[in-house]
Amino acid sequence: MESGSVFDPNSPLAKPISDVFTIVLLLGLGVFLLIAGLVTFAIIRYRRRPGDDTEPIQSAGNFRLEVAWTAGPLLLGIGLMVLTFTTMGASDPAKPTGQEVDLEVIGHQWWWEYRYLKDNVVTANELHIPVGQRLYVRFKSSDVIHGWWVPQLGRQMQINPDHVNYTWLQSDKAGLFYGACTQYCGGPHAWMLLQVIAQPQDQYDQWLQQQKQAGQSVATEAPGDPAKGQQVFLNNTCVNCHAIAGTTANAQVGPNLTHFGARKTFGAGVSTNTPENLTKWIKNPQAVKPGVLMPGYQFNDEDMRNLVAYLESLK
Amino acid sequence: MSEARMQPAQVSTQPEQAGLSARDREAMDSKSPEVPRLLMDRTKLMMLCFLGSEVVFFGLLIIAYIYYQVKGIQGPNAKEILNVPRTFVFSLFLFASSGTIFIAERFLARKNHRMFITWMWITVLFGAIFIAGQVWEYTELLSDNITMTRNLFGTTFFTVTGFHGLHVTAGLIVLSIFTVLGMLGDFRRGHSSALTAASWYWHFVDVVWVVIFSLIYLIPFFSQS
Amino acid sequence: MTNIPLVPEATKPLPKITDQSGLLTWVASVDHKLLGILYILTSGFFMLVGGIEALLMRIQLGSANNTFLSPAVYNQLFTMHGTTMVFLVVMPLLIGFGVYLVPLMIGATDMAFPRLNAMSYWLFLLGGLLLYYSFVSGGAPDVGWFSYAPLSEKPYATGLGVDYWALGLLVTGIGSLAGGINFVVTIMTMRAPGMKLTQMPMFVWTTFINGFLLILALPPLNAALVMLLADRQLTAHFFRPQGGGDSVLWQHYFWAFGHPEVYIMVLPAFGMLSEVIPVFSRKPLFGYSFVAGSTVAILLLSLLVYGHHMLTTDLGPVWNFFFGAASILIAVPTGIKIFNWCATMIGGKIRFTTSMKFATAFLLLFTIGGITGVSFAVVPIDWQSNNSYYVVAHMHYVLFGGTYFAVMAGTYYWFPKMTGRMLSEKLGVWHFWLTFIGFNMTFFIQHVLGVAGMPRRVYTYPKFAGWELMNLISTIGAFILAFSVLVLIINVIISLVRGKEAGDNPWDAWTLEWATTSPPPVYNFDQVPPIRGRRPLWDLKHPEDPDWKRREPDRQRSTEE
Ligand code: HEA
Ligand code: HEA
Ligand code: HEC
Ligand code: CUA
Ligand SMILES: [Cu+2]
Repeated sequence: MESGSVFDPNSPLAKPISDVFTIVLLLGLGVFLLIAGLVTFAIIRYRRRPGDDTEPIQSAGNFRLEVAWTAGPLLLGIGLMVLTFTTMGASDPAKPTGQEVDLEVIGHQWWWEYRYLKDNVVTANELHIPVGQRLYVRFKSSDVIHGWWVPQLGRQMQINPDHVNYTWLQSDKAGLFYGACTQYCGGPHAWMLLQVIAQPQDQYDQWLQQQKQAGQSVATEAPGDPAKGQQVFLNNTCVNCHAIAGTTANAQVGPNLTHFGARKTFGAGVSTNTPENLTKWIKNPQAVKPGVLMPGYQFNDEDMRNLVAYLESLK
Repeated sequence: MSEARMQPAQVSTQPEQAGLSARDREAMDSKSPEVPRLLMDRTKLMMLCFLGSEVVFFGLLIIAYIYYQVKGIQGPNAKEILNVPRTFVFSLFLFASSGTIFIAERFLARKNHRMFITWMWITVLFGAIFIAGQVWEYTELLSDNITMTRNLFGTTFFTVTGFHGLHVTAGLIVLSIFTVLGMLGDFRRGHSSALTAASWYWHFVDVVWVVIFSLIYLIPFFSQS
Repeated sequence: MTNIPLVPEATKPLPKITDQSGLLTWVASVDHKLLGILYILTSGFFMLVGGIEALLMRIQLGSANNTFLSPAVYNQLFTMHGTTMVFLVVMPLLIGFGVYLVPLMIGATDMAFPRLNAMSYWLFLLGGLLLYYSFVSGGAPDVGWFSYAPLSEKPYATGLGVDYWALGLLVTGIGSLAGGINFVVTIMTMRAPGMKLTQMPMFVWTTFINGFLLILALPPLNAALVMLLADRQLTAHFFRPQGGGDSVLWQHYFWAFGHPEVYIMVLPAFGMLSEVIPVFSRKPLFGYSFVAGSTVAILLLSLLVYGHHMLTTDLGPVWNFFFGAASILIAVPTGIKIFNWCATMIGGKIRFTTSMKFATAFLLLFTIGGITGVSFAVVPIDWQSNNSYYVVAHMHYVLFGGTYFAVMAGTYYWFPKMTGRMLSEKLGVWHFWLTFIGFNMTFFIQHVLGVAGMPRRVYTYPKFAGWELMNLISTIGAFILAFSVLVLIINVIISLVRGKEAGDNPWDAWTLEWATTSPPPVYNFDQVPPIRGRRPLWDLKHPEDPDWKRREPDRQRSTEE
């Protein structure tokens, strides 16, 4: 699995950009070849021949030529402006006032929070969207500036703590699309990756349905007793930062863990979600993601097993 | 070989010492189209360039002030806390000092050295009175807990007026040095581009205050609620 | 130590470094030639430092999930690398060449304000030391070279790194500002009798325009830095959302400086090219007035386009389009220059010295960088490449492929004037090809990385992303580049000791700096030749065909008769 390229668009919002990018690069190639051609011509034809010590004709300018190479790039430039104008409209269509927001993306140092405003669902890092639907997205930051970018789905958006930005999000096909935080936001900015999981409507609905419920314990292969693990969670400072629906834990400092077990990765892309990785994480998150804003915990083996089993069971 | 005429180069070891070097004067007097005519001498030109950059600097500080005023200020703002009439009186001294330095220059041109010195001191005095007024204003504001930290008005107000105050103070130091040098016998030639440059600087600082005073003091003072 | 003839005294060689008074000469001097060399050497030193920082970063990025550097260290490194290269290498290097060459080129004895000139240099050094002192004081700045608020504010950047960063830049900034003023005044008032503005060498023109750019562009930086320092030290609220401040205001102020800054970093390089290419093509610069005029156009346009660094900030479609369109327009005056340089070569009898090789490579590499620049200006493309390695590739193509290559062309060209000895052409061949190959290997592939989704300023990346091989290639390229720099250093040292004697005018060039000895005497000229055109030394040598007898040189028939 590779991270997607700008030239492999999967959205009617990304396609026009990919096209215009291709056109501009081809035009650019043309310009480069012109210059390279002139230079090569000069190198081959006007290299000083050995033994020739005479001076060439001292021509110092030509008005018509100057006009030509002012007008040429100018025309090309005007063409590019037209392209700019049309593509801007196509890739980031006008945002009507009063348009209802479907999804809120909140950037945190160094993870993503997603709020499905219409359905009251909160998740982190892995974003599920229905194929073919155009969502209206609102961007907010809880601390510094972040940047939203999923190359295959469309434009970047800067995420400011003091300005709310909006754009559209749509995927044509089902699939997994990688993205990243593009605005350097300190510390482990490198590990502020994200995934967008575009699903056919029925699968998406099913997913959403599950998300609306409180996390249910589903048996997993993780050894340990989820019920005891829940007590470990609730009796420790985890609750100061995390929320799990259906329990007393409702803090919003860290990612919402209500359906943690259903996520394939955690730590904004730093680890795949396996019991071993999670154990390492809880013991010493700094070792997994240096700089992260979560403390480590030294539980005894049993507590740890139970806690991990609990978290993994939250599907 | 060519018999082209070679010209001796100007060898001046300390070109910046005198306001005008020999070559400058030659260039200024020259009627020949071959020799570039100088628009003005170096010192004045330097001051012009410097003031150009100062315009941008102050402009941006002032834009920040306006920007936050337009955006809306939480907490105490200009209208409630500034003592406009008093600052106006002190401002008059600064405005007047622009006039007094002009008078000083006129006396210098007429080679009336005594009056030149007198009016220079008056200029310095007026500038100092303005600064004293600013110090008074600042102490009062600070004792009312209006600070840089209080809110965005404090932040922008102290930055804008503070940098202006620093510029006035720097000007005062320069003008005092010039005046003392004058008392020690400098500036007898009736013209000094360094002094002209300094007076331009002084006028500039004055104009900046006109803008700041209108913007921060007068407009809120006269605006409805 | 052997005697190294570095000091530009008429006949006497440089006093030994160990000699107390010799050292004092350097420290206390106000001679523009000494200061110019000090500028160049100091920025060369910082280039090594910034380059080593880059090498460390490249090692870290050579493989996925690498743990060679922690994010904390990596973040300091790219911040210091960017800041160093921009403020302590490119700017002072170009100013240094200007300080050395401008008075010579206009037939003056020194800058208009020699003492101010010295002050500028020492402020630059002081600023650089302040910046690097941060390493000792508990951590270098780690917020990137454009220090976006609120990451650069106290709650997020708790150490003193950012304070040293801001102070250091303020100090160097004031020095550069003074330098800019000095250039403008020098060029306006110190030209040798007879030299009209339209007869100045093109390097003088670009430095002249650069002076204006410094005067206009540094105040926004100073204002922004002052405000940032107020926030950090006095708990003001300019850019702190918590206190009602606006983080986007920082972006406006910084880029109002930052964009003109990129032209500050390239205009004098354009000037160098405009000296080198004609001399080695044995023809006058094609379209002199268009090259000069387009420089003025760039000056004006560059003040209007800074918003193209903020296209994803979401300033709204109208502003986005305005900044995009203005940026596209900049391609026109820049293109004029490129075409004129090509036209200068065509019809010439080109001598491919190392200097000329670098200049020719510049034409190709800078064009690539310019084209990617224009691609950003097509706004939606920026939306898909902002803050990616595509940007990193762009800026190194214009800065390294552009400015650095031009400076290398200039170094091989003027080294004989500055030291009295030639650089070795044999090592030059190695130097050039290693640089050319290493550079393209390091940075071309980064375009691909960028569109493949790799963001910049990441200390590492996951294996599944598929970026490993390309990064490894880039890393190897960086080491080739480092090796090329070593070759240059060796070349300089060897040539200083036993390089070929240069003589006054080894390239048979035409501008005034070649009319005096190499190195020039303290007072620069015994005699200034008469100036009746743009190439006084050509006129002197070819009394039968002087420039000034040909009317309106710009309207000459083209070479293809
Ligand atoms: C020497 C420095 C230098 C120079 C000269 C340039 C030149 C240009 N730059 Fe670049 N730029 C940087 C240094 C420079 N840049 C740096 C350091 C950054 C990154 C900052 C950061 O984020 O850290 C940056 C980033 C940057 C961005 C922001 C990207 C982003 O962060 O998302 C943009 C956007 O528009 C841009 C545009 C341009 C343009 C349009 C030019 C034009 O001037 C180029 C014009 C030249 C040509 C086009 C080639 C020759 C022309 C022809 C042959 C004529 C015909 C051609 C056409 C009509 C296409 N640059
Ligand atoms: C003129 C400017 C300039 C120059 C010349 C360079 C030169 C180089 N840069 Fe660049 N770079 C920038 C300006 C410049 N850079 C800027 C502005 C940024 C943005 C920073 C930011 O994001 O804030 C950046 C960012 C940047 C990044 C992106 C970092 C990131 O986003 O995470 C990378 C990564 O590859 C990089 C690499 C390099 C390399 C390999 C070189 C090489 O070309 C360096 C070659 C030189 C050497 C290797 C020195 C030689 C050393 C020796 C020979 C050692 C021996 C000597 C002794 C021991 C005494 N640079
Ligand atoms: C100081 C606040 C804080 C405390 C206390 C805390 N966490 Fe966290 N936690 C975070 C933050 C912040 C993150 C996001 C880290 C990142 O990805 O950058 C996180 C992430 C996680 C994740 C990964 C979530 C995901 O989907 O990426 C898990 C699981 C987790 N914490 C479990 C725990 C457990 C279990 C405890 C208690 C034993 C705990 N946390 C205590 C702040 C905290
Ligand atoms: Cu968030 Cu980078
Ligand atoms: Cu720019």
